[in-house]
Amino acid sequence: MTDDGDLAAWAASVGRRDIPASARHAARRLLLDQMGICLGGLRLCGVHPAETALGVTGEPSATSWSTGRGRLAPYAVLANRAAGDWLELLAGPECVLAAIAAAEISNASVGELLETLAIATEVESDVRRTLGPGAERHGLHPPAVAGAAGAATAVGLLLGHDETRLRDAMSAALCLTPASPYVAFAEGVSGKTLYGAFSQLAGTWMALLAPGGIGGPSTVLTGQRGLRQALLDGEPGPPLFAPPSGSGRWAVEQIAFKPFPCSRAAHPALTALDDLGPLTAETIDSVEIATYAFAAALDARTRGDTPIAAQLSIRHAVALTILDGALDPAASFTRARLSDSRVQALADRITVRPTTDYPDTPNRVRRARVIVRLQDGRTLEAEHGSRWALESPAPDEALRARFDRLTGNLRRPDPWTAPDDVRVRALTAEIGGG
Amino acid sequence: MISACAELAATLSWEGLRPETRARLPLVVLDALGSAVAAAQRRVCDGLAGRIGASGGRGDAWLWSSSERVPAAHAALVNAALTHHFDLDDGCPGASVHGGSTIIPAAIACAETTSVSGRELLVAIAAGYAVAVACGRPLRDGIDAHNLHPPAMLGAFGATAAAGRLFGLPAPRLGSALNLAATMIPIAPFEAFVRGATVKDLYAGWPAFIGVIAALLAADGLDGPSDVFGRPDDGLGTFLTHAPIDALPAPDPDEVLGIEFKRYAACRAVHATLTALEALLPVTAANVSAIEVETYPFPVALSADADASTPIGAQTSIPYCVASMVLDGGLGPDAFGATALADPVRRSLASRVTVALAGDMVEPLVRGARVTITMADGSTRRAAADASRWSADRPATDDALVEKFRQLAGTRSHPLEAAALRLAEAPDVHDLVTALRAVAAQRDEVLP
Repeated sequence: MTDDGDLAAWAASVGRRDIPASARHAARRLLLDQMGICLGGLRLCGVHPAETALGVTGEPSATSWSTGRGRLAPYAVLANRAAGDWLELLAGPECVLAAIAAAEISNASVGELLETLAIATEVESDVRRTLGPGAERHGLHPPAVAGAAGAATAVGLLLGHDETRLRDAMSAALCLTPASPYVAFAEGVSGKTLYGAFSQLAGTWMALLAPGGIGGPSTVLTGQRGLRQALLDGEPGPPLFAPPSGSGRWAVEQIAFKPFPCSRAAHPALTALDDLGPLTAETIDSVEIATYAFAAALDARTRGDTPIAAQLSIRHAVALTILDGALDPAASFTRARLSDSRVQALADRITVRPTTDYPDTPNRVRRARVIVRLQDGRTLEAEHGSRWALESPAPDEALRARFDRLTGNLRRPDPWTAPDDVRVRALTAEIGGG
Repeated sequence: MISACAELAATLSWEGLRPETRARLPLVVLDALGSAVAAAQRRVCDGLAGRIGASGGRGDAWLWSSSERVPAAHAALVNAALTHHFDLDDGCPGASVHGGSTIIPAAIACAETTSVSGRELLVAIAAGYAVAVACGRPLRDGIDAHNLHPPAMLGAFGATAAAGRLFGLPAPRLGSALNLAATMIPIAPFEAFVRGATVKDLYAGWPAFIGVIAALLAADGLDGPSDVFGRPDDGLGTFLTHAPIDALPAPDPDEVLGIEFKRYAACRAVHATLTALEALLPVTAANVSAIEVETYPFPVALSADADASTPIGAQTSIPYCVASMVLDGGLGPDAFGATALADPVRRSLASRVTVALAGDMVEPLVRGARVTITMADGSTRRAAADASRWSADRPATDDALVEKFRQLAGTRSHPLEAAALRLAEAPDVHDLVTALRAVAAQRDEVLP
């Protein structure tokens, strides 16, 4: 398939029997993880300003997780998703919070939500594959750029849009997809927490407005004046859409969950660091990290001087891990922790450089080599890819344990054990707010 | 750049504007509202307004095409889409911003919420134009070169400045709002325009919406990145064609004096052609054998891609616009209604229009056109325009703008005209919005 319209046609036509059990299971893992992280963000970091500034009530309504009350759906999506961003643990598509809200609106079951997540993740992954290289070329955050389409797909499906309406929603969302430049990461500003959230808001709105006659062009991705050509400066881009076939793995099965609460760019180095065992900061002379070029470039852009900027900084993530033994989603990347002179002193002794050992093309090799030089002259070295990468996915038990840890004593549902026929409204009704 | 913009938007005063600017501002508002009235009368955005209106949300701002009061961001979204629909909204040369359809609807929505005076509304609008043009000037060419839609990408800066000003944000917060808006701006491919997709209406509506949203979020403490233009490999910096950005002119509070208004309901790229054509009218369509248009590269390429079967796509089609102008004697909203689009005579005449690149308008670029009409008897008529009518060096007069409004409103005594032109003395925007709402009420009496 090569045309944008086929993407909508495929999404609208996938039947329940087309989705294998493995994809359903993967969708449940995704739901569990993103719900846990967003609830955890609320518990650990408080109500996001998106809720206080834009807590609009209206219909269709979905639950704002910080209050447990109804909000006009796009704003519930925005606030719920943004709350999770503080922890820098979210992985996977930007359609999950929008899908949950739409499932509330349509009174869908958990099973229907999981099926929708599998389909929307497929669409969003394909859009991301198509636009990702161009987005990176322009310094735009690919997940946020692709996210609006995923959210529109999920909401449209759950609201029962036919193929035409679904195409309208997806293409309109792509026309309005937010630019989301990387500079917000590098500077570590709070607006970065809106990146995926605003994409989901845009996608949700476009799915809600499609029945009112709002639609984009069916060639928004692949047209001569479409997004792919625009972002790739006219160079040929990746082909669009390869639907999962009978034995093929679905995109939702290929999500690499994040074990560490920081930029994915730091994960190979942190995994390698684990191999070296406990280290004492005072005994370290220097740390040298060689990693893939994209990660090294991101690290070079940030001073790590705010909690969000430090989440992007490989140097700070490594320094905090050495000092504290492990990164904590709530405690590691705080202004108080970053003001500890030992953190900056150790970060200053860490260098990050790109290496051609891990090429960026044709497929990015996300690995790192960590060399620790001790003051006594010894050298420790380890080399690794990311923990929980595709070849060694996160165990179910680890994701469940993280959900429990992040949500703590919050009143909340258990998306892991909820039967397929339970209504999503019943799940969100258990979110107590506060 | 952003700091300078924020400072200007937060501190600009009525007295800080030139007298010519103060005199022109109400006409800038009137021009935008004329476009909105034409669209509201024809119910072109009713689906959007219906959905947004039905979504509720307590608010203080009215939808101009219906009878709902909604949050300011929602009013900005719908009213901006309405104002933009017929492509009659103004533009700023060099920055390619449709301030009339982004800044003004957002500002009026925020003014309703904050109960400010008419004069304060006008100052906020002036600030919006100043900021939009200052931010847009270095980006426009790069955005154009990527086949993206500059007004959709740049409009949020102006809407944010106006909204932030009306919400009373101090300069640092207003700067944060502008920086937040820079991260939210839509990428907005031109594909939507030439294919005639209805989301094109939101190429004004969404930046207006973002402007209000960004100002509200910044007021609640969120910050955007400060260096949104600074890196050639990041975000808006990749579209920069003028560097270093800090060497560019400071925002000009009198920027509205440079606005180019639109005489014709079409993409501005078609206007030079229509300007040349207008000199040849009237012509009896049945006697036309062929019409040859030569113009500069952008409209030639755009027209070649246009889907002229749609109301929005037809606005970029030179053959369709030329045929309509010949048949109607002008180019107004009704040329893009269902009846006109299906008119076989119009289609037939459009099929006899050819468009070619004018080699002498490429380098240096001349945004002009030549039109040659060949009649059935073999005679020819020719006309040329080196720029569009009402372009910056031949701006629309005040009287011409009032006349444009009256034509669009369909009356010479619309209460909106008086309300807009008296804005500088108005204690609030109540009369203005009441007059706007009356448009929908009167329409519903005639066309229930």
